[in-house]
Formats: sequence, C-alpha cells, structure tokens
Amino acid sequence: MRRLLVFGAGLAAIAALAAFILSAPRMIASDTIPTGDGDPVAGATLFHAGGCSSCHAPADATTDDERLQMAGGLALKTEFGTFIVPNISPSEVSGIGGWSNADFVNAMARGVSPDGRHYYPSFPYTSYQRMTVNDLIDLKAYMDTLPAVESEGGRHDLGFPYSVRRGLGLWKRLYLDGVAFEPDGDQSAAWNRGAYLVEGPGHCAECHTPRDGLGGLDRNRWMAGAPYPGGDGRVPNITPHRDGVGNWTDADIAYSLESGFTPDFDSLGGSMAAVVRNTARLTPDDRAAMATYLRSLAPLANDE
Amino acid sequence: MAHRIGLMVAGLALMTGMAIAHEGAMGVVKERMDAMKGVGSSMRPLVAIMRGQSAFDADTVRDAGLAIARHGRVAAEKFPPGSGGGVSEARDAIWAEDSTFDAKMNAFIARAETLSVSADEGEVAFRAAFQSLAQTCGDCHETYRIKK
Repeated sequence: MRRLLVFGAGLAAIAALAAFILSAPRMIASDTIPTGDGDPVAGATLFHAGGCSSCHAPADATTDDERLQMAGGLALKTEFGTFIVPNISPSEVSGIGGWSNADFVNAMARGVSPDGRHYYPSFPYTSYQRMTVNDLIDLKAYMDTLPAVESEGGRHDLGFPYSVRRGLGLWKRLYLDGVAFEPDGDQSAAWNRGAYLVEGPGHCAECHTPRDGLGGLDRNRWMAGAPYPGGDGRVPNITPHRDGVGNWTDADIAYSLESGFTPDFDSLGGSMAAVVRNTARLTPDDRAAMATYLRSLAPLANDE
Repeated sequence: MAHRIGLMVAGLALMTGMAIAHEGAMGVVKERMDAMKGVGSSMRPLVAIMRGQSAFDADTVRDAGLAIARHGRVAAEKFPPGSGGGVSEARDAIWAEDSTFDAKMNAFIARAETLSVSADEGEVAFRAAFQSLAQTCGDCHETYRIKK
C-alpha cells in the first residue's frame, strides 16, 4: 500500500514537472531581432490593418484623435471571464514606452510579456505571429509616435483554471505554432498580400472563425461565421458560399471594407463598424487584395 | 354546455389575438424594418454614383436624399420602449437611460437632408455629404443593432 502511494506521488510529481516545463514561455531570441528604429509610415498601415484602436482606444472615443489614444481600459466579457484591455500607448509609466524591439516582437508574435509572463489570447497574437519581424518593428515605430497617455489599468477577472497564467503555455502548445506568413509562390502577389493582411495584422479569423471548447480556432470552419463575442447575434460567414459572400464580387467586398455598405445596401454594424473605420484607411489595392484572398477560401455553409 | 365552452374559447382566442395586435410587437418591428429597407433601396443609386457605376445626376441625388430622410423620420417613430427581443434586431441599449439613439437618428436624418441639398452644389459636395451620411449608418448599427 505504501509502495503504491509513493508510486502515485512520484507519478504526480513527474506530471507536474512535465506541465511546468511544457508551459514555459517560448520566445524569439532577442539577439536575432534588429534593434534599429522601424519605418513609422509603413507601420501606420499595419496599425490600421490591425485595428489596434478597436480595443485599445477609450470606449467613448468618437474622433480620429481620440482613437489614437491607446489608453486601454475596455472590459472584454468572454465565457472565460472578463479581460481588461491594457494601455499600449508610449507612456513609460502606464504603457509600453520603455519596450525594446525584442520586447514588442515577443509580445506580438509569441504572446509573452517583457517580464516573461504569458498573455491571454484575448490579445490575438495567434494571428499576429504571422507578421514578419520587420513589419512588427515598423508597427512599433508608428506606435511610438502616438500620444503617451496615463491610465489606471485594471486586473482581469477570470475563473479557475483560466486564472492560472502559466497554464497558457500548454494552450499555446496547441494553438501557437510560431510560424510567420510564408508567401505561396503559386498564388498572385495580390493574393499573398491579401492573405497576409487577413491572417496576420487584420486578425479577421479571431471573430469570423468559430472556436473549439478550449478557445482555439476551429480551422475546419475557417471564416465560416461564429457567435458574436460577448453578446447576442452572429459574426457573419465570409467564405465564398451563398451563406457567406458567395454572391458578392471582389469589388463588392473591397467596397464594403471601404464604406461599410454591403451589396444589398445594408451597412456593417457591431464591432465591424470599427473595423471598417480602419480598413477605410488602407489603400484600394490592399482592400482589393483582401477580397482576392477571401474569395479563394473554401466555401462553407452556415452550421445551423 | 359544449356550445358555451366553444364560445369562451373563441372569445379568449380573439382577446389574445387583440392583445398581440394592441401591443403591436410584430407590427412596429416590421414597420421599422420596412423603413430601413426603404433607406437601403434609396441608397442604391447613390452608391452606384460613389462606385463610378453611374454618372452624377443632381435630380437622382436630391430625390434619394429626400427619400432617405423621409424613411428615417418614419423609422425614428417605430422604436417604442419594450419593442426589442424576438425577431427584432434592435439592441436593448436603445432604451437604456444613457442612450444616444435619438441623437444618432436625428443626425442621420439631418445628414440625409444635407445630402439632398448637396445635389445642386455638384459632385464634390455630394461625395462629401455621402461620406458624412454613410458614417451615421455605421455609427448607429455599431451600438444599436444585433447582427443575426
């Protein structure tokens, strides 16, 4: 009996050790990340493609200037608990003003903070990991030009076991492959640009693709629509199926990202209204490229 | 006896039917949806000009602007408190104490009227007026509409 107990305790210790090792933050070695300043003009495009202000600007922001104040504070209600969006303005006190390029790249592409803790995937690094290191450094250069704002911050309010940050390391083993976007030589330049914008900075799949029980994206249902996060209704199917945008032309998709109008003269609402404010600032070529990519996806029916 | 019960059932059915009709839930929801559809179809010729699919035409712009304002004024009257839920796509936030719904609705109607006036000022003025009108669609749908 005692032998059995010792054996059981030993097994538990091994499992705990394995979990501890497997859940360790994995980072990009900082000596491989360039230290020079990026290009803020190129970064501005990525900032708008990424829609950073949709979550990080104050919830009551109404002007373009207010939407550039990355003070955070918005409460994101999810089935895992409530996340408080952090300050990512260049304030050294409340924001990310003191960060190096390596700090920024590891936050965006690996979901790891400068002090080595996991971020929760409510911050969509599962998409941002597709961005190139150079683009991330350009994005940082642009964000460094934004106003530094001070804010109180706040703590996430999550239930167990989601409150155990270290456990995210195991989640990342399943859902964070750490692979940046690789252009597909068989596809056009426009397709590759669109795929990069949609899958990387645009992080469209984070809302348009449904999640499995552990909160990871269900890749078999890529862009086929999902429940509206934190509220009533649905996020639409945007695959080229008749349940999605199958009856839209490429130009219709591009125009909806410019103006917010669908081909039947409805206007995009909910959190997509903020997305359109951002995609309206992209070039017509970039919006057309996103349409090219979306129209190439596997057409999937709604699952109802 | 059977006759009397039958009458009671019929009377009850009639009263229930009237209660639903009086409450008007189906009615007002349908009416505001129709008004919004009216806005959408009046948008059609304007979007065609914006997308370069048809040439700028002052009469078209003026008429469409006036029609949108008219549909908007109808729609604005069709959101009585408690008319959300069910098939409605209206969010409860419309009737919350801190609601800005009426202000957004009025801005929408005012900008549709501005657009109709822009018809006589030329295409540049029209394009600016359209952008400013279109913004009010997204502004309101962002907060007050459930996507189903």
